[in-house]
Amino acid sequence: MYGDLANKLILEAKRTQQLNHKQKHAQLPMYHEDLIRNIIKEVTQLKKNTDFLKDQQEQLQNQEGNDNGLDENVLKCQYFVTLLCMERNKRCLLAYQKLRCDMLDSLAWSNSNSSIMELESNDLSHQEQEYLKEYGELITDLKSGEWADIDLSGSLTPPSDVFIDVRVLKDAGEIQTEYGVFNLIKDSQFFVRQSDVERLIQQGYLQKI
Amino acid sequence: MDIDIEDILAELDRDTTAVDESLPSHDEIPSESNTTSHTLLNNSLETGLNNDKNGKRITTTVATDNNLRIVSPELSFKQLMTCWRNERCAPELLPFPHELMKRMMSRIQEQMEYIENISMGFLENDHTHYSDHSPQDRNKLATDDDPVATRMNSNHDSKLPLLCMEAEIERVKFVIRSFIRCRLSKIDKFSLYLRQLKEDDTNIISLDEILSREELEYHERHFLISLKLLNDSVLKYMPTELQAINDTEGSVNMIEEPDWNKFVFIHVVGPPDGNLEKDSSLTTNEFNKYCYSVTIPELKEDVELTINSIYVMRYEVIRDLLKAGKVELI
Amino acid sequence: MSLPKHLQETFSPEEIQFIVENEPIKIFPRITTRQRINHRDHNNNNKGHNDTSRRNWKLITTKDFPLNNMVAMQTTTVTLWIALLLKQQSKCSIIAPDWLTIRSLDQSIQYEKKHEDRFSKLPWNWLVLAQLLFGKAPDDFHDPVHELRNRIQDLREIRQLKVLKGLKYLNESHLQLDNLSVLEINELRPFIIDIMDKLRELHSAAHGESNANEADDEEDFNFS
Repeated sequence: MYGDLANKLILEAKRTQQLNHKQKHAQLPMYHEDLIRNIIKEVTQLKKNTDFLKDQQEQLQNQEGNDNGLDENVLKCQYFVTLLCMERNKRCLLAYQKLRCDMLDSLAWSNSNSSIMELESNDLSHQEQEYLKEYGELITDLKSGEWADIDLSGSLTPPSDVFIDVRVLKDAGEIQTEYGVFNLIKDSQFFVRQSDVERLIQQGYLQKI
Repeated sequence: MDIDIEDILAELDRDTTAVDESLPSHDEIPSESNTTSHTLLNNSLETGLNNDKNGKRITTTVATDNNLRIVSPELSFKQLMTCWRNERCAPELLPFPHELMKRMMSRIQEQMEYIENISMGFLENDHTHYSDHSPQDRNKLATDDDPVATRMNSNHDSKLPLLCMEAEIERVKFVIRSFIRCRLSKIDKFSLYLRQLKEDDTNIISLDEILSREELEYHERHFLISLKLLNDSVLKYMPTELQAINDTEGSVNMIEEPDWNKFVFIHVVGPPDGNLEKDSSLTTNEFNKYCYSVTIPELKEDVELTINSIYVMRYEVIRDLLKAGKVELI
Repeated sequence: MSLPKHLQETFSPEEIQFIVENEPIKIFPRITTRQRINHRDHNNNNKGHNDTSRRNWKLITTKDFPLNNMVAMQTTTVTLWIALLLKQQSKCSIIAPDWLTIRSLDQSIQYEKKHEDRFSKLPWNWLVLAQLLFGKAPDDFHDPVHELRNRIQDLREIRQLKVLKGLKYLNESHLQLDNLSVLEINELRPFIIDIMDKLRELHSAAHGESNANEADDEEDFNFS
């Protein structure tokens, strides 16, 4: 039935959304390219149908003298339903893409470069990869402008202690801070300023104790 | 004891944009003076009020000229906190507090320079003290109650203000970051709606006022790349009549508007200048309490919002009071 | 999205704590920062290369006068987060607020039990402040902390029960919730708002004034 494929797509989107509502880290499933291509095909088919129905309607109207009110109503109804099907397919496609778009945005803000790299090769469509790149650039520009001092992509959890104890989870080499050089070797512990190591915590090199 | 004159004057030292040569220097102001208000400039229209801990009202006079605005740091921060909380709770994007943000950003920058100068001074003096410590070092420190305290003591408490100032600046940055990130998410959510506002000349408030310059640019650029994505993956495969992104003709309106009637938690604070008598929208109810009378149009129901009370109310109903600073979202 | 979903609905508990930390509190400093020489002479010298200027507190969110004029064992008022920082460095003791004593809490509990339809007049930050002080300044209380903690817990439970009972009065119009604290509001927010919004939609639909809020599955996906 027309609309079935789109329905499948939207259920998929809903599932993704619910999954992400529970987990904090956005996980983007694979782009359903086949399904989308088929829905687009369906729309093209529906478009042909509407053109055909329109022709029929015109022909019917041009036939003089016949009492064809019933046929005309049937045609009108068919035409209208077909239009609605097309419109619905469009909405489903857009909704699916919009949801993925939002998730890509979250990803771009979350700073986890490694997970972005993984995604780019696998689960994103070509257009989505392009989008992610451009949005990343937008964020970079935004961060270096008027609000450069704020570190817009920094932590959204309020600072509790300026200085914290951290444990090194994996070797991260040396870092330079205002308080000297730290050599981050696995399993060692340091007393550092939180803002100096924020990024390293987010990237999983360090853990707050 | 007079704390506030100190404060206002200290502010003069800091705010590079606001130095009036004619003002008396610090030493000429008696520090034990009981003056509670100090007019810095005559053409004042906007007045910020603040309760000090004795319940006394302290007036900080604010000039209207953009370049000569003097608002005490604690009042500015209070305003920032209110803006942040309002923005987080409001269903719509609230107007960007241009002046306040300008003030906050310049204060942050100055403070960062100040902190940097101090810590550089420290580095010169005791560089070795703060270099990294191996786990062995740590064990040594751990025998003391508190590693920070240990180091503080060894440094004759001189680092305490620095520690505090660093903590403070992290706090301010956090609020601004969270505030802007919240705004950006609303800008994204209402992207099309805001574009519609831009094209509509009949609006009382222009988009330039709602958004900051950076936000305007973000809005435009993000819209363009999103549109490109949707075009390339969906819209261009649609029949011509279905290619619009902002379709309002079809069966479902595609432009998402803020939910104007969404319920919000409000705290009724009264007029920002604290002058209950002069607020003409205030009335007194049968219990002789000051309140704002509002109407819920859909239910044709009148509600009295008494000062200092907390309500759950439809946003549209209190929107004007919010913009006038008479209620706060909590 | 630039703001994570869980922060779009309500504040996080950490954010609520952050808000409360900006409130003033009384302390007994254990250090003296007031200087004999007029400290204001140094205010103009902010370059930091001079020894005396380092001892000055220069703050941008709160008054720094009290901090620059602390005298050991003389009560002063500072912002809570600064008090906690000083406390962490053993530079002050925090003076617990009047309501946070066994006697006062017992009175509040009595009040809560007596009045089924209202909340006792605790400060708007009572719950968070109590938890913060129990955790970070337990030695500054005159009363035993575990007993205070029990009473706070009792109060919390009594009030929660009241809130639950009150939920049946949720409607599509409005609600007055005086004396509810910031944390309590924050916890209730998603639930109360969700229900009241739904009631409002139902009411609108039933009265045919607006059909714009049709709620079907796709609504969440509306392109915006």
